[in-house]
Amino acid sequence: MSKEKKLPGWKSLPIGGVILNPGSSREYNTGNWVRETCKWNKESCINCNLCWPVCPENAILVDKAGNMIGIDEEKCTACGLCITACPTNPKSLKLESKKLEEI
Amino acid sequence: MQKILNGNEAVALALKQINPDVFAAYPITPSTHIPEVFSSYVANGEVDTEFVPVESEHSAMSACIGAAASGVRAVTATASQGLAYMHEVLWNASGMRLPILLANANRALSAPLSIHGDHSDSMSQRDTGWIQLYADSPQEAYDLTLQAYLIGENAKVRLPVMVCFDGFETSHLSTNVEVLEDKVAKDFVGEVKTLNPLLDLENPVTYGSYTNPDWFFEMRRSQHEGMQNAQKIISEVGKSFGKISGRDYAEPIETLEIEDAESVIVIVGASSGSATEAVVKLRSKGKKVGMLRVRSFRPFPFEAVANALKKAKRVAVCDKTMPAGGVGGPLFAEVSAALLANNLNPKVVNFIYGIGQRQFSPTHAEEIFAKLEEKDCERINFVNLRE
Ligand code: SF4
Ligand code: SF4
Repeated sequence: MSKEKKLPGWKSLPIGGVILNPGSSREYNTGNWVRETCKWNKESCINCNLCWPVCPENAILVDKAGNMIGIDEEKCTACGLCITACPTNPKSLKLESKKLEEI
Repeated sequence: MQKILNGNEAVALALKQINPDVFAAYPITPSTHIPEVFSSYVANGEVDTEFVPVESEHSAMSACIGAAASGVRAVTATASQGLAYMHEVLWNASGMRLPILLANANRALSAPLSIHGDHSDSMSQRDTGWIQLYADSPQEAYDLTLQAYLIGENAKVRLPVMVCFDGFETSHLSTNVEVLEDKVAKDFVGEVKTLNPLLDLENPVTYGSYTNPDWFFEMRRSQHEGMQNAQKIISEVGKSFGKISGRDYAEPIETLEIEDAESVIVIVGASSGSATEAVVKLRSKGKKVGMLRVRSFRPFPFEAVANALKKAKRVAVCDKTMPAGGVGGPLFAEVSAALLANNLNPKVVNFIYGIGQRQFSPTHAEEIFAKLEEKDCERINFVNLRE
């Protein structure tokens, strides 16, 4: 609840909960209810991008040049799929508990 | 133009004049006539409707939802178990605010198995967010069917509409029905009014998505607003229908001899005919009795009902479904609340009648008026039931 945004009231929402802008689920903070999040280790990462396509939440951040730049913790649901995909040893991604004040 | 039609044929004829885009249905007594007659219109090329003979009522409503979301007019007809089987999908239709039309020939629910009429099917769907209009005759079933899309598609409403009429007593009653010329009916109903249709490929949208607790409540609140707005729109559409037909539906209720009535029967649907006869007979004997028939059950016309009953001393609310452990039947609960909300305090008694189509004659309506005057009459009474 630390970063609560002001949401629109019922009068300004589209009738029937219809979503008018395609792909808008990308804007949704899917991970802010989860107690864990994924942490990225820049040192061991080989920038192979194999984690990026498996993430169901668009939480792996990649810049225009294709470089892995981190995890969007607001979106990460700590599913662990990226960790399975990561080829480095040790893994360059791991799950960690969030600090209480981050939840 | 007059035609001899039963309720089902009258609804089918209204649908033919509307020429909806999709009709998805699964047959069930006593509404089977509607898809049966309508499919002959389809086979004869008298309508351009896509007729979808689905494998169940759940699928019928689902097909209607898909069609309505794509931006066309969809309709189905059902009754009883069929309506019950649609239950979860009815919520989807109203939640996605799709102005689907459903013709329901009211029938009892199992068990024991009954194919006969009562209101337990649609009354169990009263909270699904559908507008519910109850006809008293084949004529009203025809008239309300023609009005339904104009109400549901209104930008302030955007809700599905259920047109209910009594199984057998209306669905199979052949009577004179005043029918509009095809062109007059078509011009009245006009073209479909869409909102964010799925088939508008230039503007892609998503229907039926998931919501978290931070959005769901707002969606439901908006739905409630649509239902509240429907009161005014039902009246407006009913008034303009009166201009083309001579039959005005501006009022959500119908009253008989109510101005100075001390005892009033409040009722829904076809059995108002028996109540009418009783009122006429008792009035001729100088009894101050009247009748109020509620046509729009959802939204419930609280103000109109309370206003009509403001001088009544005794009110007999007649439910054609069991109270199921409630304070009374669903109509009793609504009428009592409407009176209370308007600081009116007449004696209000519940009469359960017509369950599984138990006969309800003018004599039974007279008995209700007599019972109502008894000092210590129970809150819930059962009409024409063997002890
Ligand atoms: S743990 Fe799951 S949600 Fe989080 S970044 Fe990895 S794949 Fe994406
Ligand atoms: S899969 Fe592992 S090594 Fe490859 S980019 Fe992702 S974190 Fe880096």
